[in-house]
Amino acid sequence: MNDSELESLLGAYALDAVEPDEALAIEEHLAGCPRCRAEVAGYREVAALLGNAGEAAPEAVWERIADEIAGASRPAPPPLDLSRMEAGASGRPGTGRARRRVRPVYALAAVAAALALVVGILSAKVADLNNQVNAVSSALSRGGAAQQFIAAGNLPHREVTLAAKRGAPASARLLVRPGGTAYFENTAMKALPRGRTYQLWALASGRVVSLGVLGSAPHVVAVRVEPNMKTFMVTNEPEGGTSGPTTPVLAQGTIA
Amino acid sequence: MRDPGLGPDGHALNADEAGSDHAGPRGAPDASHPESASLRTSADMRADLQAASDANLVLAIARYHEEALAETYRRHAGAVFGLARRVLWDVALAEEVVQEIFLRLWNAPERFDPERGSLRSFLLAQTHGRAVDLLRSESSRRDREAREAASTATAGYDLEQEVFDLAVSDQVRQVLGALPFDQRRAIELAYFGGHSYREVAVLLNEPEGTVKSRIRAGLGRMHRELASTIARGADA
Repeated sequence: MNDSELESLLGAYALDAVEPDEALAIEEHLAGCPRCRAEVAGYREVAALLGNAGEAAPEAVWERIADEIAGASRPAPPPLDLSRMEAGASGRPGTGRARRRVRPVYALAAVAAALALVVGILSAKVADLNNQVNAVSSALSRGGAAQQFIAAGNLPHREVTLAAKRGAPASARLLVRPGGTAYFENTAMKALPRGRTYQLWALASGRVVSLGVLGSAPHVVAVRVEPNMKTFMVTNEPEGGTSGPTTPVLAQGTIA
Repeated sequence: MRDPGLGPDGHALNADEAGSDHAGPRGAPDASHPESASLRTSADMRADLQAASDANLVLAIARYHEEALAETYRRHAGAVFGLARRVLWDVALAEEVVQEIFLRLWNAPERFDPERGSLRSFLLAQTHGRAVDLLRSESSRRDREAREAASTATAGYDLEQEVFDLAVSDQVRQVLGALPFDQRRAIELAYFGGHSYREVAVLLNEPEGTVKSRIRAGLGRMHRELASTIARGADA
């Protein structure tokens, strides 16, 4: 098949309506043709709208899925350089993953842990890291729960002011909720150049542990704070973060 | 050391009082806290989870967060099930597809590339592919032929009505309804009927080339008309 024959099949391909040998030829073509990839992606979005019958999610199937993933032996998640805090976190993945069942409707737990873990995962990924972290924090800042929480300002929380030194104007603040969910909010730290990221640390029982990378121009980032963490610090680190601070502390603060 | 006006559960943060271990699962009511505070905490978490983008949920799934998979399931399993059932006409088989699709996401979340489209369209494309595979397998092909024969014999095989029975949005229905009949029919037979374009050509007694260009033209037109809907969906 030549290219124009292949392209004439893109619609049928997007609907899984081509023969297997045609599908192979199209996929080969797509691998090197961003324009055709975009065309297929567009058709699939249309198909998704057509196929969206708006039914209720079948709950019995979720029970089966939950059983399956609780019992399955999966490889442990890749070790992270960062986020050693996770070793003490309640939502610890991998080792000791509780064989419990989460119901979609009631699955309210560990959100901040999930978000902090997003930061953790990102730290393990090299490419485009800052962009992704910035996307996370800007997503949060667009009317997200963190923003609403901060705006509301009247939910129980402790506020830690992070400043260059005692008495200096605040660079950032950390709002810590009773359950350990915390929101880092940048108030005065300038965007870093390419290839650098802010990273948040905590002093926990005499050890410095990473709470995650914040991105090069953070606004609001959700992190997870353990009860034994009292002092928090921000440093400027290479993109991707490091396992321990490598530059002087830019801002710090302690829970009163 | 409590901030004045902090609220009665501020002490949960204090290691001296709360100890270094968490008292219980996050979000679980704590007997020492007033109920209202626990409820607020729980609502706060729900808001966080529900506010997370699909792409962030998938990142959390990559870290084996079952709660993130549960939230993804809550958002998309209904659509996955609806499409599978629509193509397969078999609830049990459709449920198997749902299970398979979400286990695939759990086991290989990296296969979803947010640059290439929404999670919804990724999941539904996988669902459709799997459903069509099942449909084309020998055993169900026989069932299907029998079923189609039966439904044609009894009530007339009214694809048009079936499509309109779907709970698609008014806008999608309108855009689909505005397509030239030939384009729409080819798309419906391929997508909902699970037929290849060659089979559609036989069913409609049209040349294969005509059928594939009708499918492409119809999808292209719908894509242009639904562009803003699609862009909104991708943000969600």
